[in-house]
Amino acid sequence: MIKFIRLLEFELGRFLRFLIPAIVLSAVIQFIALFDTITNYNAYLKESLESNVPMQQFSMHDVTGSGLFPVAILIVPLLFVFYSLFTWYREWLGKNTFIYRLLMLPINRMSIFFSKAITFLIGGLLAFLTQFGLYAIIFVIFENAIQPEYFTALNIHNVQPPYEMIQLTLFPTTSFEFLHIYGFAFAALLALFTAILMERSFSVKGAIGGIIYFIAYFVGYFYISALNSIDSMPWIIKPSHIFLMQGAYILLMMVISALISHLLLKNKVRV
Amino acid sequence: MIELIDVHKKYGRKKVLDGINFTVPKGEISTLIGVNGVGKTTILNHIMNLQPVTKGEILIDGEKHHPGIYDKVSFIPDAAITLPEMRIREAMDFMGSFYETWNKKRAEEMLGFFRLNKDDKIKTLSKGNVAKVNLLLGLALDVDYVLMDEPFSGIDIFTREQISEVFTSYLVENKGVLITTHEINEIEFIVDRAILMDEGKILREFNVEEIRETEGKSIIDIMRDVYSPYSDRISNYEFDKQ
Repeated sequence: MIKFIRLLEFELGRFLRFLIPAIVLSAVIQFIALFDTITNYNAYLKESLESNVPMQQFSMHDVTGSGLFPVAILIVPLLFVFYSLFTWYREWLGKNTFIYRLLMLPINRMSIFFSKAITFLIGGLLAFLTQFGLYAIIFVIFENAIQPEYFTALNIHNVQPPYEMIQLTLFPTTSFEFLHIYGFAFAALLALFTAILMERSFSVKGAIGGIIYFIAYFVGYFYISALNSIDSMPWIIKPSHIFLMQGAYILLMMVISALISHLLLKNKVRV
Repeated sequence: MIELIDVHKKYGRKKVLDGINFTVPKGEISTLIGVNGVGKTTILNHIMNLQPVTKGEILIDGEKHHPGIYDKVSFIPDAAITLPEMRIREAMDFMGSFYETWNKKRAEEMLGFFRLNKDDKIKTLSKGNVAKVNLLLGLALDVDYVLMDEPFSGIDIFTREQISEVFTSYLVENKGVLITTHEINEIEFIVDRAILMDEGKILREFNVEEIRETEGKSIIDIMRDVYSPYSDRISNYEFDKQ
């Protein structure tokens, strides 16, 4: 166990070299969007005082609705997508082939798999909490920069309505939704890792198999989601049951991905 | 001992290894000889379970492969396998935190022997120094067996001499060593056994000292006998030696 924790610490250190600059960049852009909105507010205020036109209300939507803000929010998720591939391929490709060292460590090879996967969980949680912290800071600065009569306060869960998809996906409002969405993403990550290991084990044939496996994961999930929309179905399933089936499917796919990856790492993967 | 029993490897239809059988006993230095592409590196990768065999079995002290084997067998490949952004000191710490058999004192001694600066980053090192780091990381493990892939490949003459010294030092004493190489001259007088390969098969396996005493022949002489139908390849060896 101690060796697994050391490996996890090592992997996390490697990931943070990418994640921290991405979070900082995202924060900088968010603050630029904030100060841009405050500048606009001051300009409106001046115009309103000069021309006696009634002043419009300002809320966090004016910050999050700025064109820059969604770019800032998407930087970190895009890094996660990029790093999910990079975390494996960097070990094989490039001048130094670190995969030799990793595979020759005197530990169960699934430790490599899980250390990479848990790195994403910790990184995801860190990014999630940082973004909520940033929202709180931006909230306070914005509230203090706007005169109370022109300021509409919003709940932190509603600060992103101009981009409802982003809001719903990245910042779920209940613990169940959080577990569901992030569980779905984590199972997708494990399916992707399995697909990569298939490719690393069987090259072209493995790549084809891996792509099919990865797509099949999404198809299976959305099939369950759409069960009630299929006209030929002789029964109607309660939404809560569909929710449970999706949860069971996510767990099942995590176990299947881990089992396939275990077999590949133990018997088939090559340097 | 390390035992390879009827090991076969195929890439698609191409046979890379075709029924390989040999052993690497403890306390002896064995060498696998053959031109590029005959399957020498593949054999080492198989022993370390870095590539699956198509057929056959590999046993280490009678055991099939398991993660604990890496505390028993050390592999020194001819490529850089340490992260380029790591300093030598960090690479040593990394090894120390995972291997039960890591010998810190010996690693420090080898730093001095190879005249390496432990604060240097791997990416700033020359090919010769990367090879020395590989040797350091591989030989500082208190293992029973050491596998080395082309330890002299692309290395300058002074580094070669340093690496050759390793084979006559306590660093490999009582260990089973398996080296793949083209550079016969460098190892002629240090190896105990030679295994000649071609096209995925073992053509001949012999005790070097015994052949020298009974037939008065060197490794190169035996290679001439064995590879005579392939004289063009012999000239490749002569070329490599230059």
